[in-house]
Amino acid sequence: MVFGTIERRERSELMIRESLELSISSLKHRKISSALTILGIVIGITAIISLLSVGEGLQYAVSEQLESVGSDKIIVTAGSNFMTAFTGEGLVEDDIDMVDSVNGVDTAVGILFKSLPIKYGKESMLSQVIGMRSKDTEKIFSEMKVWEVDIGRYFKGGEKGVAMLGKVAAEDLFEKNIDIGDTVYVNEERFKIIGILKSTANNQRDSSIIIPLEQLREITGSKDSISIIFAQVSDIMRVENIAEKVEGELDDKYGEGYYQATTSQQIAESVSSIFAIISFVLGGIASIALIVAGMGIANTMFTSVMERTKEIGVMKAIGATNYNVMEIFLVEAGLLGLFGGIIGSALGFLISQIITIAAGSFLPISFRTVVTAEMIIFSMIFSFIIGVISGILPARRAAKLQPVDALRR
Amino acid sequence: MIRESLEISLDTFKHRKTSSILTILGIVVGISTIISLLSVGVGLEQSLSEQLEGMGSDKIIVMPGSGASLSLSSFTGESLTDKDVKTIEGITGVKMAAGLLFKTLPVKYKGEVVTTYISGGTAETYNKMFLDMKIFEIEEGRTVKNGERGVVAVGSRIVDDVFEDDVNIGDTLLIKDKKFKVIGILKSVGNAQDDQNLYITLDDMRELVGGKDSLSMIYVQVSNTDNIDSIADKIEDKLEDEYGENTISTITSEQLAEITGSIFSILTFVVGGIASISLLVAGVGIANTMFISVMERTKEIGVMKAIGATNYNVMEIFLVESAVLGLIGGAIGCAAGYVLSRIINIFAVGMLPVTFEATVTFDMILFGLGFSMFVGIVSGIFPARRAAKLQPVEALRYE
Repeated sequence: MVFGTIERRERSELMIRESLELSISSLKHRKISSALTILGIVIGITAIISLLSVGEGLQYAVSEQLESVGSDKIIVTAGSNFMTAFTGEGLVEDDIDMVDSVNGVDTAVGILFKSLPIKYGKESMLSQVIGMRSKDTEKIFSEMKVWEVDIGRYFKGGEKGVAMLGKVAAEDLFEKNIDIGDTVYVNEERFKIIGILKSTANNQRDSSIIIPLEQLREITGSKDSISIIFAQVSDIMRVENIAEKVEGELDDKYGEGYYQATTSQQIAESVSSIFAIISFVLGGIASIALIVAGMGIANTMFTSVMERTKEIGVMKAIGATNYNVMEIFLVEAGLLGLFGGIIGSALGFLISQIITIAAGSFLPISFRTVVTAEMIIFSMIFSFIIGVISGILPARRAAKLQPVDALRR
Repeated sequence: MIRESLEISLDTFKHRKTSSILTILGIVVGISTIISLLSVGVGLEQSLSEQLEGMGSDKIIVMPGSGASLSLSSFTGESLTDKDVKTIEGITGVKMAAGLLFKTLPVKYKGEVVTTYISGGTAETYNKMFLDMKIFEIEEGRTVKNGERGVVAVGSRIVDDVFEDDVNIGDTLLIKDKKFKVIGILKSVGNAQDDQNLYITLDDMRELVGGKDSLSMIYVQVSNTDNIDSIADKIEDKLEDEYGENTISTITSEQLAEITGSIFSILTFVVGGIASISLLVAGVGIANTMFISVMERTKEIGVMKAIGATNYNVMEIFLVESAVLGLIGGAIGCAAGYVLSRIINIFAVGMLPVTFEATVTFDMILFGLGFSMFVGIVSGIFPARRAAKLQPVEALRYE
């Protein structure tokens, strides 16, 4: 304070102005502090929501796939490892009829997978060749609708030298597009294209060529093996029971453990759960940022308590209990967290939309992130709780301040 | 009054100490997370390159398929032939070549059935691969001999990790209901899939799955690793002359290492990036603490300026303070991260299909320290600038 030759009146004006400046400065400072504290929570929540939205989007994509395949399907494979089953051929044609005869199974079809070079014009590409029985094609394309024809038709009983192509095989595999009527060679055998199929989300499937099973056997010398049997059940609700029955019948015939009957639902569930685990792990790592933000809240609250020691003393002097004081600071801390959670949720939603747009332009598949109400509600509750927990120690310190000491400062 | 002034000072210091501790703790949490995650990434990368080294840098793997159509099914395809092996051996620079036919089939042992990879090769092939190329090594027993049928050499995991009962030399395995006597056990290669392979003769294999002279892949050993890439290209060209363009792929162990290396780099980047978010928040905490610090020391700053300190001096002081906060947090964080990686090791060993050790490298620690100091400095810029801009007269007037 500058004293001395200044007039008394001017001096009191000076003091008021400085008190004001002090208050404004203090508030402005505390505003920066609060803003930075909230910013910490905002960053944490934004990261968590963005990551969780990607995880949800992936799980949503899985259920979309399941819908298109149908949840009334059973897939029979040979072997204990589902992934390797697609390249195996442990089943035989007789098994198809056996599966068909199981109670509850509507229809059963079998296909054989092979990997062979396809020649079109001058180019040759190794691709997946699917062998289908002519009597199964109608079931697969009309009844079960696991795959649908886009242009042309599927081959029927007795036809030879005809083939169908997946969308990618027709348009992307070779330099030129393949059309209906064109000729391709599989292992030197001639095939006329009579149908092009709709695209599925499975790239390998879409790059396949489908030829009559009898011909595939001739080409490769495989006698009666089958890679996979698809079955459709009449009652979706009992599909798991029926799958168990199918497995039981196969176990009876071949011995336990050779075959597996899995429902499309079960497959969807296991893929979904893998995605869920991944998003939990990533979300967990992002949550660490939230813990650090909580430390920031604690820091700010400690400072706040110190700065307002006098204020607290006054409160206690006029009758506030320790509990009242603690309550005030806990609520403040909780609000800091909640405020951060709200802004973070909004930002997180924004970023998830950006991710969806980016995915659309960079990836060949359409992928959407999904932000659910539960995510937002959970984030807000979580950030509020973090705020409160972070505020416990500072609030206790405020509560324990002796009014007499506090006022004296 | 003196006692109360002391109490007030102690109080202020205690508070500022709490503040500093919380701020440093934020950096510690951030850095330890990053370090432990990076150590996992490095450990995985190392175990992978160890395995590739086991194969040797003078090997080329030839497979049917190329680029877009290369997929899981290519590994159990059957488009290569015995003739191709001869063709490859005729190329200059190639020391030897050996082909295998791979399929997954159900294997039965004492009533239990497991599906695994079976590889079929001639006695000559196995000798080349085991003794000359040293792609695999025998632990016990031997591999198949010329003309033998119905015998099998098993990977190390088959012994006690695949079936409930242990499998030993002399035991009988059933593959597709055909009997095979175990005559040899291989040394562990390091990854679970290879270690549960079964090796039977090519004739037996062809009988099991059909196919007259087909092969799934061909291992090639070159005499000189310097021009291994051009030899790989030559192999592709020669075989594609016969099969058509884009039907053959070759991979050298170097390329394989590159591919897996880059996959891991991306993974580490993503996970590390997410962990860095907590460091970002810690930086915000440092900024907060520094702002408060500046406010509390306004008078102090006024005095400094009054006795001649420049704006730059003041800024420097606060920047150094925030840098030190970051650095201390970084040092403690590196130590904590190291401890975490040891803990991860204890849990991870045995859970993963490959031999693995989370490793904290010197580079990582340097990075951790540097990054934390950087975060400290950057977070301190705005508070330091505010301190620098304070007018001494007003600062001194502040109470």
